[in-house]
Amino acid sequence: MTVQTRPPRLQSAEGEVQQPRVFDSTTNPEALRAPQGMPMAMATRDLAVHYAAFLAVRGVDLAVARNKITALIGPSGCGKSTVLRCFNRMNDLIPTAQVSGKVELDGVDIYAPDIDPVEVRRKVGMVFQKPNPFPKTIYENVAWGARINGYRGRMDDLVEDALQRAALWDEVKDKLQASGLSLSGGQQQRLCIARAIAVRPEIILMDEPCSALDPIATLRIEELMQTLKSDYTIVIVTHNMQQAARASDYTAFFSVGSQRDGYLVEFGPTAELFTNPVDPRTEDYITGRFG
Amino acid sequence: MARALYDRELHRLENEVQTLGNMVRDALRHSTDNLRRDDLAASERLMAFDRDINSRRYRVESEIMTLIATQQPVAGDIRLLAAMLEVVGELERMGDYAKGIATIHVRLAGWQMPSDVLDRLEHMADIAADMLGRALDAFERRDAAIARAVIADDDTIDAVFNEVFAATISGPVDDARAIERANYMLWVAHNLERAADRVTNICERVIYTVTGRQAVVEEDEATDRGDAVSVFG
Repeated sequence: MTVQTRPPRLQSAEGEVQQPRVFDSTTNPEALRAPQGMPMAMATRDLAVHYAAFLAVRGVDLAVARNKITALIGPSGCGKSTVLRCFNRMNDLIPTAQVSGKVELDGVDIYAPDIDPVEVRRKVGMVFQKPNPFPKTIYENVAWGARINGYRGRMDDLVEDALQRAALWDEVKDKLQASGLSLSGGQQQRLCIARAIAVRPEIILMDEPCSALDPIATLRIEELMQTLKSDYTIVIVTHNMQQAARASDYTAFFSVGSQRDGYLVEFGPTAELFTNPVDPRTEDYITGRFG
Repeated sequence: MARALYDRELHRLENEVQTLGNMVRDALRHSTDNLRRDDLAASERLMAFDRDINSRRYRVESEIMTLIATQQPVAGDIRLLAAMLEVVGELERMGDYAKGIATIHVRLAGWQMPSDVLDRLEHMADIAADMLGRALDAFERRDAAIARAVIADDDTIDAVFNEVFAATISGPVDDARAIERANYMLWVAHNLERAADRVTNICERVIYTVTGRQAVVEEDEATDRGDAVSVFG
């Protein structure tokens, strides 16, 4: 009985390898599938950020659905962290940064002249790449933000509630006066999440929150995000595509243009983006064939 | 290429699926050819060959699972691998149909089928093998149009099946041996018709792999007519 074998898919019978695809840096409108039929917490309109003369990211139209997890992914330098920092005006702290376009929180342009950036940051909290608890007690780490915001309720209740929501209470309830720095990396990151929650934000931004954590601590944070989204809207920047696939509801893929200008390539439901992306650039990146 | 080893393994597995497909296509053609030549030894070899098909199917399936578990494929890659898992299962089942025909041949123990029935059964095997060949080609080329055309051809083999059905039930109804032989002839036709149905399943996987959308292919109306096909369905 004869058995035929066939050449590999990317190779013709003559052994000629197909040429890689070449793309320009335009965003394909069909690849932008904003969440339908649900309230939006934040939205950008033609958002662009310059650092001095350098255009870091341009033309971003992104809608962040309320009580959902939106992941921003893309290669280094694509502008995803820059966009994230626009969501609570953290870029104001960089002297050369110039933001154009609109960033709306509940329909209000947070870059409008009469908007207080401190109030924006109270509503839009942030958790950073490396856990950065204050060199204070666990209790004070959580209470601090509320106290400087003039919180007048029972502080003990607030601290317990924030630690409960951050899934840390059971581990620290007997050592609230211990230093926040005495905790493990994963616990410190959850403490930072509790600290963000304590000022009652609407939105929590997470900039690679698990990159310094081991896989088990990473999964705990991802589980926690699923719990938190019933009360908060979460936007996460991650280099870990499996994390974006596991943990988010919507994913935005950014790429880099020929002038190192970041731009949004595709945005849509995570399940669709990871099984059937519209844009070939997304496919190439998420399957590891980028660059 | 950032994932050269992964790509090499993916392409190797694709080749394995194609090889399995070609083995099954050969088995289908040989099944009726052996009947025509009344070559019982060849039918016994075909029954043994099914073990090769089965073991290759399970080895390829295991290697696909390993690639999924270790490489976390997404997008077009996960659609391809999911399709391959389905396709190797369909191919293995088609191999069972060929083996079933060989078994019937052995049970008929030298009784030669009427030539008009043999002609039609060979025709069915040719159609099924051709459909499979084109389905494998569509899979390799990622060509949904070819896959859709193959699905449409399922009607052709169904029509020949109905001819076989009409020819076999026209015999005497009070002759137990004749009824048994008619039954065996129908089973051969049924196996070939089902093999073609499984080719259409493969084509649906090809369409999914290419487009990312589940192909909704209408079931052949013959299965709902309450006629011969449903007896075996």
